[in-house]
Amino acid sequence: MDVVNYQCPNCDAPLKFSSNSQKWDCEFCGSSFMLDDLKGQEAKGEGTVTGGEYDAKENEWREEELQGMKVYSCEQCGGEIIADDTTSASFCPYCGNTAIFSKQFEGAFRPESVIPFKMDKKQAKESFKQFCKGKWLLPKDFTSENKINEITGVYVPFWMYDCEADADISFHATKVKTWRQGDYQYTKTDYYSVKRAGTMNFNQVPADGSTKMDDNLMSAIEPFHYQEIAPFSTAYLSGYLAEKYDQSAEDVKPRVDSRMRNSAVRVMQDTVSGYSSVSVAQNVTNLNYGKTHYILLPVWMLASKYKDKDYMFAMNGQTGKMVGNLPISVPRTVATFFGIMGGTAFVIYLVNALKFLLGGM
Amino acid sequence: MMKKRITAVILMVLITIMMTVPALAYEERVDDGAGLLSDEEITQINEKIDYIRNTYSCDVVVVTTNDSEGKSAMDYADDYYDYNGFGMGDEHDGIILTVNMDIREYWMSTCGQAILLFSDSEIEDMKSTVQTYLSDGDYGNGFLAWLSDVEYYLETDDGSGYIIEDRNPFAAALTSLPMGLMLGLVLAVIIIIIMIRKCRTAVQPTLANDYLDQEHITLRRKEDLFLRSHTSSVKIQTESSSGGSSGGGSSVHRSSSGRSHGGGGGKF
Repeated sequence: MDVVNYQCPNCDAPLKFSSNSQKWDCEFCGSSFMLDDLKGQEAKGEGTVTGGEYDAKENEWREEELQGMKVYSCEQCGGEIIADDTTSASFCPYCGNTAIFSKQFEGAFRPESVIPFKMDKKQAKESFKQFCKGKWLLPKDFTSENKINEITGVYVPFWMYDCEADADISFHATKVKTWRQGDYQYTKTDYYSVKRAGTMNFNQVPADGSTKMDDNLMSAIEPFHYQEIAPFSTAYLSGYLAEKYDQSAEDVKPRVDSRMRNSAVRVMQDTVSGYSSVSVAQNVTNLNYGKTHYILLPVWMLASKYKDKDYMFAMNGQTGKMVGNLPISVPRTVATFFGIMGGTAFVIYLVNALKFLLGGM
Repeated sequence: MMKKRITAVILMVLITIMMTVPALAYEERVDDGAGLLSDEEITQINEKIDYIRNTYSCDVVVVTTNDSEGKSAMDYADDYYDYNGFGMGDEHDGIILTVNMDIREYWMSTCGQAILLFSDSEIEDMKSTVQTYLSDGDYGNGFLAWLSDVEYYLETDDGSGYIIEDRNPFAAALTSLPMGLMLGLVLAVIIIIIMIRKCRTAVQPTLANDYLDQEHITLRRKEDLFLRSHTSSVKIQTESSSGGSSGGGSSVHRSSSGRSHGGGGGKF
């Protein structure tokens, strides 16, 4: 099993991918390198294999603990790096060196492409501060007491689907006209049967393929800008954590499936115009999937604890979009509720009193 | 002889009184101080007032003036009625309409049982009747139209009137509280939902529109088929302007004499 870490061609210090310069910077000698400068190292990939043969009996690790774990040895200092068996890039806990487990990308696990990080840790922190602002129902002490105990940049494995949707949809539609004649109000309702059929293409609809990652968070940070997709290279992973998929493309398909079906109906419904009401009567949508892509997308994960409860937030590592469920203060919600209700009633009361005072008498 | 003379004098005095009192009463109930009415109009108005007084036991007075004595139209009307001893029965039932040309305001003031007989909404109706005539300068017809209204409301009264106690604006506005609370409830629910949504952003999107190739949507079928038509009709409920019900509350105020009056008025 290979552990790759990228070293500065000048001074051999470990290199990290810089999200700002989109280059690899050496923190020791200050040089920075383009992807091409490092290409040679990728192929090298020297390292020792210890994973499978690790003797559990001589260690305090119990069997079930070791399940789903892998042990690597650091190329730099020889220390043991313990990681989930889906982790494909990590750090050495002893020397802080970046470690990329290249074996994890072999065969079917080699991603087609990657979107590199554009936001750094500082931006993620700042973005989270902004995220907490202007949220009235957030407990006041959340921002002060809350300590983000962990901010990690993770390359999350995503499946992307190309798909052609063929929709054949019937609508019930009505046109309603009302008019007055004499003492009567007339209402005329015309009923129509409207049919629309057509095809459309969806390109690269993403869904995350990692059970570790919360599906809601991972789809809420969409969209990513696909112009910046780069061909995969393990070099991008240095300095970040990386995961490999543990859910197959088939497994996560239902998530994109329903989204595309909903969109197809919407597209067809948008072509139905000039009616007072339109509702779907029958919906037959066939999805013909084309290519499936395997891509790593950059995500900053922020873990925090508030009043003994864990809160997870995610930030799109490319666009900076922050999502997550913030705690809601019950007393604040109740106070706001009655405040608005009482305030409205009071204002209306005052307006009426003023009306009586000025004009009524 | 002496006796006869005395009797004759008494008789003559009595006859004079009997002849003048009704005549006086006639005169008093229309006081055209501003000279807006012709003799013919005054006669017509008097006849109508007389009829209403006799039929409904409710006094009716019409006053025009060029000198409001520095009072508001309301105070002028109340005082004119109170200090000239108008009103029928123990409670001085009656209604007065004054037109104060100097301040271009008019006021109709009710007293005694008449406060109940003319509810606030009926006063409002009468105001709109009177206002148009006064603005046009058609005073004679305005008073006659007003008298018709007065007669109509007296005739259709069903005894359901009541007094709206002391119209303190802050107490009166309390009636708007339930409506305000309902509106506040709806508003609060909407705002809270928006606020909660702002805190809960880990939500799966339901659409895939971001990934749709907008330029390559092909429509191969576009059918709009008319099925049938259905027409229904509902009779429009028109509220007759003179209002079928004579019910409703009447608000009161106190005049300088200490008596309660109802009524209303405005500018023209």
